Amino acid sequence: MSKNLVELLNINKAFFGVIALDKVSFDLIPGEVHALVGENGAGKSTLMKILTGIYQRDSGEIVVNGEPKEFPHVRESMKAGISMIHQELNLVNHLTVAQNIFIGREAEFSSRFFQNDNKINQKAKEICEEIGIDIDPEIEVSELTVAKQQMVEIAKALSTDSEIIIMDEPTASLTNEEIRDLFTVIKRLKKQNKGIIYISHKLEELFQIADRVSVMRDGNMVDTFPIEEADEDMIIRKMVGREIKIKPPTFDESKFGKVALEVINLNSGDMVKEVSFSIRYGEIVGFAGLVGAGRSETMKVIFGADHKDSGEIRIDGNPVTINNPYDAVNNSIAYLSEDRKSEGIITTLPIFENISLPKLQDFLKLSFLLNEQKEIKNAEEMIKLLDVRTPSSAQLLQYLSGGNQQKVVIAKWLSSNSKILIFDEPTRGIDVGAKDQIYDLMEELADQGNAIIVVSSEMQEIIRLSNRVFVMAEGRITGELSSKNISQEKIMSLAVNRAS
Amino acid sequence: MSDSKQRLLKSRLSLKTIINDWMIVFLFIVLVALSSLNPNFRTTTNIMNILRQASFVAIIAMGEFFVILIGHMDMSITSIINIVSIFFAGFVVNNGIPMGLSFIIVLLMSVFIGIINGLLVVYGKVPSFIATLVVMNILKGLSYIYSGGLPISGLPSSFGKLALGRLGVIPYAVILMIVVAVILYVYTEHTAIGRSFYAVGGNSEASKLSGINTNFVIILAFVLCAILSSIGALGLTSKTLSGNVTLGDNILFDVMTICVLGGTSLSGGRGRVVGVVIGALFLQVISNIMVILGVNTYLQWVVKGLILIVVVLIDSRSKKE
Repeated sequence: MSKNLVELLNINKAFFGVIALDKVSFDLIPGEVHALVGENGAGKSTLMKILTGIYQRDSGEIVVNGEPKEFPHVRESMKAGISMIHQELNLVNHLTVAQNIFIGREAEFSSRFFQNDNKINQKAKEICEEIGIDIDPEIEVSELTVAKQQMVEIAKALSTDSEIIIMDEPTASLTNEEIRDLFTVIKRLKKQNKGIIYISHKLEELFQIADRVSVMRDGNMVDTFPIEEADEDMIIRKMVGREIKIKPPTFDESKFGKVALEVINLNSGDMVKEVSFSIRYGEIVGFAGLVGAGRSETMKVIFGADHKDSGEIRIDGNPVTINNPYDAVNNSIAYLSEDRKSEGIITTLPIFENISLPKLQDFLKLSFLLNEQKEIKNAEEMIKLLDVRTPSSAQLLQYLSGGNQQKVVIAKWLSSNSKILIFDEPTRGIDVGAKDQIYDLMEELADQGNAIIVVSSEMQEIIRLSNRVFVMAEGRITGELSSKNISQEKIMSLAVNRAS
Repeated sequence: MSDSKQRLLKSRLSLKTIINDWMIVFLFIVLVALSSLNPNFRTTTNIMNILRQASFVAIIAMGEFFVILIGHMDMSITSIINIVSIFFAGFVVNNGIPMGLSFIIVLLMSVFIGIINGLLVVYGKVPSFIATLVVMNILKGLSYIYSGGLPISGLPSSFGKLALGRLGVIPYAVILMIVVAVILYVYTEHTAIGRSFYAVGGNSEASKLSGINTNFVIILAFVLCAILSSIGALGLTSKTLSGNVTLGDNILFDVMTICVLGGTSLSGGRGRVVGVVIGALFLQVISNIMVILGVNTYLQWVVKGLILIVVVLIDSRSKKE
């Protein structure tokens, strides 16, 4: 019998009386990638936070390398060889790669007063070579892509001799090529007998990288099985406890209205070049491309959040001037940002105040006082419609999970009564069940006659939703695909078109 | 149903509210303890004195509150107070301009100063701390140039009523503070533009992308701060019937303390006008106690310093939860 690296036995945890983990057991053996999947709020993060000493369990046992352990603090779990690479990376932007890898442990490499960068650079280089990462240790972290920064985090974990590496949604913002590189690194780690706990919403990845899969639901461990015995449908069924239909889009073009938005030769800096397209009412149009192709930038220019160098924007056939988001909102455009945390939500405000923000003028009485009753009523309708999990509409956004925060952002733009809705990565970090709800909702909005633009890095999302797809690369539209000939291969070939 | 909603609404600034609630309790305990200990404290005269002394500083603090609420800081209020005090006295005493007109002129001056502060922050991208520090120094220079550093006395005694007059037992100053507080309470918590201050302070980028004119909101906060500072300045000036270029020199610290005591988050987005008023009363009661106990002025500064740091520590701890 192989010795387990980690064994979690009957872990229980409750927050203020709400059970978050109910007798959850989990194990990890050397040299395996053990995937942990489940909807948002299933308990994955809580379990990992207990393993890394961020939270304390109520009962149960943590055994690492055969020894029962207590982790009152992250330090202790690190000492026991456990490292976690969080979704939001913990790097200091203005320090070099090597300085980041050895942060907090400079003393080991320095003389009495002076830090010796040569030594840490050398050491960092060795670690990177060991796992085949090509990064200059002397470069500042801020100059690296997200993918490379993630590699730095992995190197950091290895530099502490971690045997157990937890990766939380490592591919969330990576391109396909970067994902391949990451997987190469993970495979090398396996060869070195490290154990990897891999949390992901992207199920298709599991079949490429995982050895075993554990599924959690509502604080319970539903099942653990070798990947060979699984298929995507089965995992989804276990995650949600119900069937999920994946239906191809059916559009009745005759139902489309007139042209809602027309963009002509839009230019802005290096990221938006000669972009022209149009969308009709009732239509869903997808924008595909690799990260950095200029899709979000294009949308931000249309929305007035970024400066326009030249080009024309027409709404209902009339040229409009949009200098800032305020103009855009008044022209019935909504933009749901890809960056929820810094551009979408206001964590210090309650749900209902976040929702009514874009159109406060719709919630007035006596023409200057806010009608909070009306705001709350609207928010409660939205909460019901989008199934936001919250005790009340007065809950501060900071206390909601990521998926629920995203739903609030969607609710915000639905309440603005905009006719042209731009959804930039609408389901990032959202679990499978909620994703489907959001897709249904977007389709319903289109049915009601709204024009919808979807920007997404998830190809399946684009294909599932779009009537037409525009593919961008290096700031230009490299191709347009209409419903019959939308396919993953075609999108990809257009997306790399100019990059190669 | 709507009742429970109301309650939830009120608790939305939970931790801050707790601090505020505790402060009210604490304030009450201190008052009871003092009134039993020292009969001087209990007198209506003394209580009204406390209220009166707190009122102008409270009005100035309500101005600073707006700037802190949007996540910035206005250092220039000391000099705004000084320049308003000296120019108002100068206009009335030296130039013989009627008080009403002088009032309007200094008010416009303060609006102008607020706009400059706001423009530097919004379009100059200068950190507000530096921008307002610069403005503070410039105004200081201007007010000394104007007056030669000397006070200008001889304001008509009718002007003194602002600080010392009373309606029955209630001083005009207190009435003014209450009126300002009520207006600002409604403005911040029940109007769209008021909501925008909270939104911008909470997340300025998200607010901008929600169609809020964040530049306008930021400039407006600095303008309101300047206006309220100058109203407070006139109140303080009326106490001595003379304009003085050092009138506001020690006030910034008290104003900051009041805002923080009142539960305004220094990182922006949280706080209430009501809290600021309570903070002002609290600080005044502490000062009053120290005066009654005969604590010397310099030691009072030490005590106030300790109070501020304790409150900030409590605040930053509660945030970590």
